[in-house]
Amino acid sequence: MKLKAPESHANHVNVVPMVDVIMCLIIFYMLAAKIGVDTGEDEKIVIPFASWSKEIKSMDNTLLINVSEDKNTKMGVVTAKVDLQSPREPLILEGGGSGRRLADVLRRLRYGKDLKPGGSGANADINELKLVIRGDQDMSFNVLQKVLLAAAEARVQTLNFQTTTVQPQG
Amino acid sequence: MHVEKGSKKVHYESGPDMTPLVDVVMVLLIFLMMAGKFGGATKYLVSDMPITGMASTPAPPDPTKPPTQDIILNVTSPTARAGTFRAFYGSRVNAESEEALSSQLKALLKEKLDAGTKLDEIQLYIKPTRNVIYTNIVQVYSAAGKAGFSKIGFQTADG
Repeated sequence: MKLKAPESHANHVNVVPMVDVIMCLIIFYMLAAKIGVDTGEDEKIVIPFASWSKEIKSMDNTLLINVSEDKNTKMGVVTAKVDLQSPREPLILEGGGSGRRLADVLRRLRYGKDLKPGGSGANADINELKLVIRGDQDMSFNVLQKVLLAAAEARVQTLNFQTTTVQPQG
Repeated sequence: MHVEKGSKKVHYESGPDMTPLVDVVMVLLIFLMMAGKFGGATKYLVSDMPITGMASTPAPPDPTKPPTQDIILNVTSPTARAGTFRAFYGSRVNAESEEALSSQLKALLKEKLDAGTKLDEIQLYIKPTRNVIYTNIVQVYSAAGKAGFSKIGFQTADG
């Protein structure tokens, strides 16, 4: 017996496989893509390549700071999104200038409003406070050590250095 | 479905019209592709002992914890170029590339572990000079991580 597909099926494009694939893609993007998550990363900063590095599973109690070096003055330039609702703000690493001192911001986050160990509510300590340094690959240790000293002054115990797994060309 | 008796062409209704669904789904897909951020290439070097050698007096050692063995790895750089550095620790380590440094540090760590020191008691401090660029510091850090050190920190150039 000779079987023949119904003409209506032969004339129309079957979109069911396409819808299946698109649905899979949508589910993937919904799960994997971070939408509306702004940690305050400065995309202009070129982070260094590291051949050995780890992933961080939880970004809770984490402050990301962007660190670079002004090529003319050789001074450190630090920005961070300290409050979730406010945009990225410049922080003072050394000397004068307008804005808050990095060490003060870290101490405030670490020990709460009273800036002292102990307390509850607004004065509660965050012992697990983590600092993520998004540093420019060309900045000198002179700048980095000032950030490290500010972290040490605020008794931040965990530091993470953001790196890339994409090898530089050339 | 309406089939006329004796008609040659049979018209099948092949389910609901998929066009609006496909339109909406495509819009969603394009939005997610454009708006989503992927941090796939970003990873981290993690240190839970940030720094020593501050100007203030260091904290006295905790008597409840075993004494640590500190390795202070000096790093210098003749030029501010990526990949140009020299890392040395006494006469045991002297390397100018990440691979060489990693293998020398691995041998040093093995020696300490064979002598009975626990891995947790061995701390490696990277001590770069002020002009060493961050890329080179990350290379030294990576070499130490690859060698197997679990406690890696920094010591300031000021001592």
